[in-house]
Amino acid sequence: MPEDKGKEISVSFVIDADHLTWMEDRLLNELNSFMETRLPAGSIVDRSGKNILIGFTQKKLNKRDLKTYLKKFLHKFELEEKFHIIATSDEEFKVQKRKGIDFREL
Amino acid sequence: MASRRHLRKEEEEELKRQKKELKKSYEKTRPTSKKLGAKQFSDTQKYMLVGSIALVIIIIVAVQFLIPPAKICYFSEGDYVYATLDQDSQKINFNRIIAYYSILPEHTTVDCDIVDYYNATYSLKPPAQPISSYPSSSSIKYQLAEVVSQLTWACLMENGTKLQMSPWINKTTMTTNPLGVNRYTPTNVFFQLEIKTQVQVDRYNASLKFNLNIPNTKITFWSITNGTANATSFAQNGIIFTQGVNLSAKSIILLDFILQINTSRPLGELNLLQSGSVYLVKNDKLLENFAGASAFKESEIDFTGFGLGQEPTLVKTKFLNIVVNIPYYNITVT
Repeated sequence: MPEDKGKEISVSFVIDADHLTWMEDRLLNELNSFMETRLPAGSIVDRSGKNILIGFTQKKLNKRDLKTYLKKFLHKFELEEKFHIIATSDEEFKVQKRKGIDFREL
Repeated sequence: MASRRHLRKEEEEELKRQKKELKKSYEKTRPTSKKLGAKQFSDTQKYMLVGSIALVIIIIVAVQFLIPPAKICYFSEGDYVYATLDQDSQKINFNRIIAYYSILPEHTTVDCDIVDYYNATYSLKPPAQPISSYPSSSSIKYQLAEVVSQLTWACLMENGTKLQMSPWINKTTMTTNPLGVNRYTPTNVFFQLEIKTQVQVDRYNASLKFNLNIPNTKITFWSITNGTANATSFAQNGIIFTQGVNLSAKSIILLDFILQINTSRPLGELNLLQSGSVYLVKNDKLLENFAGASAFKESEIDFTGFGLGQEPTLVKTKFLNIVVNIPYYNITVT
């Protein structure tokens, strides 16, 4: 960490977790904490509204690895049947409600 | 120990700074323009937006149905339908319909679209200005005059001139006896024009005008009778005329006359009958009941600008004249 001091940081990935809030707003904080604890050192995670922002002070995490972490989050909170992770752009993921699931059933 | 704690505090502060920087970086990447469409809506906001638009539409539609537009007020003072029988083509042409409408002053212009029962098309000549000769405190009258109809009404013309003039008239027949006239021999020819009304008629008149100046032809005598009560008839200067009032439905108007003809020419060339007409007048509300009335009455007049189901309804109509010319027809000379 000391070697990261003063280093400029920018957003590398944005996770749109709007659909999670339909179920419970708390889940967004859980996702934030989960990513903070699981992502490798040099990762900065913060919440902005219904989005989770991720930046790196060191080597940028692979996109595929980030998706794996997100899937692990869904697995941990037993949300896999209701949500799935989709990439909406090169630097953006979305926690998407699965088709066929009514938002009232979340 | 104190130095480790200090180090940790520094790390926390650094993390806070980095998070703040991360947010700033994120804000920079987001579009800042306030132009329409530039703002990114979340899914929740999108659903709310669509829902509110749908709600507004539902309210507007409901209001349209619950509060119908104010009814335009108009009535017809008199409507005229003119028709002419073309003997050659054996068709009746409705060539003029004149209708008067009284409309509330707030409706400054009227656009009229006539849909005819017989699927005919009309061209309209609406007036540019209200008719000044019909002053009224509460309304402005428009004359939808000179409606030129392209309606041609085929009719059946058999021996005896059987033709269907309008639903007002059940049948019209003209019979002649004998059908042939010998040349240079004075012959009495009996004519009977029979008109059977389909509906109650308040007033009628029928007239036939004969040509008295035909070379080599002499018309010396005619008499007329008719089959309706309270009827008057006369013959004068080549015109025979009958009129009456209060005919019930299915009444028969008879116009009987005898012409004594002495001629050397075929009767078909004589043009004995200059003109003829039958007027039926009915004091009734027109256009309210589309069934069983005249062709014009069966026409649906639709004014654009009305709301749903706001069909025009005539409040008052003084009379409707149907004018059909009946030519002299079908006598041969042997």
